[in-house]
Amino acid sequence: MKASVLERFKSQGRSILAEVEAKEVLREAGIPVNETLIARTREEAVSLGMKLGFPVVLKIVSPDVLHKTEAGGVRLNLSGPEQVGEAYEKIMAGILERYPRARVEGVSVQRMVSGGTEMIVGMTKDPQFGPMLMFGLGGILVEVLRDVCFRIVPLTEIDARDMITGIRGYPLIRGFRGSAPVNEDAVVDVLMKLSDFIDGHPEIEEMDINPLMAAGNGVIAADARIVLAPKA
Amino acid sequence: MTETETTMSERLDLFFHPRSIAVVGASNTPNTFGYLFMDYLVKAGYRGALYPVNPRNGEVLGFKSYPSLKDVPGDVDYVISCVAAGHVPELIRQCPAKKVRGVHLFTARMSETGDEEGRRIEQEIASEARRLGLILLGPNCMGLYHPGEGISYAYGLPGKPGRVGGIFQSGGLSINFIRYASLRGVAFSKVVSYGNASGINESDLLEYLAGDRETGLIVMYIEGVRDGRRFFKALREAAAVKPVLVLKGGKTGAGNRSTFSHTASIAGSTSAWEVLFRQCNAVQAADLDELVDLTVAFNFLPEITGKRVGVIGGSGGKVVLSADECEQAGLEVADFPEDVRGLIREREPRLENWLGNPVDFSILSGSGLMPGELMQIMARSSGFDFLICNVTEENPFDDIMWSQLITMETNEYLNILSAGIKPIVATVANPGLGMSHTGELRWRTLLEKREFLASHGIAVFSSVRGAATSVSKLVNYFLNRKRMQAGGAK
Repeated sequence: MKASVLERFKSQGRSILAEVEAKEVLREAGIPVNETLIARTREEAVSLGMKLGFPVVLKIVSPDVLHKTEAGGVRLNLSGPEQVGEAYEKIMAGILERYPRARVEGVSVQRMVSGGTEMIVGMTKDPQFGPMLMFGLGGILVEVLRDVCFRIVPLTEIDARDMITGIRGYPLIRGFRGSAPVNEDAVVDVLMKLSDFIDGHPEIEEMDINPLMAAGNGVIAADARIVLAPKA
Repeated sequence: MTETETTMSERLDLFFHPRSIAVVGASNTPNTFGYLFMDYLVKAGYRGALYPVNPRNGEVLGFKSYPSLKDVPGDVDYVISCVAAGHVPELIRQCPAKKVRGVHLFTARMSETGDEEGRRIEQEIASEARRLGLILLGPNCMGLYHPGEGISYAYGLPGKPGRVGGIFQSGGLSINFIRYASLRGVAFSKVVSYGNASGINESDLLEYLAGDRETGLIVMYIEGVRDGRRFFKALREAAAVKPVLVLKGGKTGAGNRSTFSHTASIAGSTSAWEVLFRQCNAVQAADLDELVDLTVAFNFLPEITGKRVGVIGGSGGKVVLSADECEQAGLEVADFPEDVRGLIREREPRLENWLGNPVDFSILSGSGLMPGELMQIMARSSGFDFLICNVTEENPFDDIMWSQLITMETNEYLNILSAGIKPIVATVANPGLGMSHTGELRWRTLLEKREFLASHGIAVFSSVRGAATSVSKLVNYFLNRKRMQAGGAK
């Protein structure tokens, strides 16, 4: 019963899984993801927005556009059908202007998750010790201060907790000056499930869940990408 | 592996307890390695059968010599090879007939040279040994130091066995380490120098020492590992059972792989070794000096799981600096608890609010409270997890009284130690004494005290920094181990 999503992508010889596909894989691994669907027309984008519930986020889906925000391919906080329609047109026009030769599959539509603490969870392979998971706070804390914590897979639950408490920005996770605390158990759960999943899938080379957002009483993967080893 | 097969650790244990040793390439020429390996065994007092093998000599160091391994009468458990690489394949083939358990290849000039022929012959030897079921130690290594069996790979290593086990990728460094640590009263169960690790490697040895009843703590020097995944598992499991102290030599060649994900680009700047050691609860030493200090701490101290330190001895600025060092190392220089204050009040009401932690002994002069009494009071208080005692080098008195006071102080350390009421470490400064200084009473006395304390089972350090850093790491090790055990039981 494991004709998995990952198997399907592997058999297609895929090596880079962008947001929509990466989230499919993560959902299968048991990670809560922000449901993300692809629209190929303006009308489809609007109807998906209504289906998912506003506000929504639109992002360009193209194998040739890696840095979506810089390319003008991301529109946040769209609160109704008209805004979604306009955003769709703007994204498409912008991409056409900047990347006239890009292959464009459409735009992804997902509910906007906002307000919660942004975290990053990632995975890479060390040449000596194999897969390692990373945890940190999103935004400038990871970009500038590299305030992250690594552990080698497979993790124990203590390892997962140490990754969270091991970053200097941990007080922000605990809740700082009125910000809501992050549900640490939910983060531990994500790390443990990822550890198991990665341990069972040596073909996964790299992964980013960026951001993993605190939402409600849990966390949710709001964007992700996965790199698979090239087929032998 | 099936139930009836012996494990690698069981095989290593037999290999490391040989009833007979053959030194192949043995020689009568002093200061050749064929001579030295024979002489090391003789001087270390090896009690098993010793067979020099050499085609030319009838006797080596008074032992009857044999032209080849197969000519040795009876079985040979352990072979030391000092012959050139080209002769090793033939030697390996002769081993099964003599029921050899394993071969230590001091023989070098193989893969470490980087040339193709060296690599080829090393591989050929390793695969042949594997096929014949022989343990292979090396090549390019000093082999085994096992004082309990009278086996050594250098002159003048201590003959008394102890509880520290060593795994060293560099044989030369291991000898430095053994000498330095033994000056501090540390003794060894066995130390293995394993060189190129084409046969048994660091993970085999770690698994073995983790289960070895002669070994209470493990010290490692590594530059690289053969199989990182296996090492991770072996290190995690070993450190869960007994302390593993590690010195890592050489920086990782993290390289500049092109990366796609954010995670991978950040990982390139992070030391995976640091992650490994932290995750496995291995205790990392910054350098060789710290490795020795840590070995002293883990060898002599019991399990300490609190960081409240009582700092005692010395006077004035030295005491203040000691407290600073402790705090910087992550220890807590705790206030005198009420029970201690109460006892001081009973003895010397004037000192109740003057004395505090760190304890400046000069405050006691002229009072009715003796340094020894105060030490006892602190040792018996539950307000401290351990004591760091600085031998008070400076007092204003003449030689006789000066040395009497020092003797009283150090004797009190032993009283506390033997009463088993509080873990205690001592510091005696070592400002770089030379031979000529031992003629002066002051320096000779301090050297004698140092040796006296170490030989009576006290962890002695040259600096408060060394003591505080080591004990802090020791406490962290035991706290982490407890936490991991509790977490694992969930």
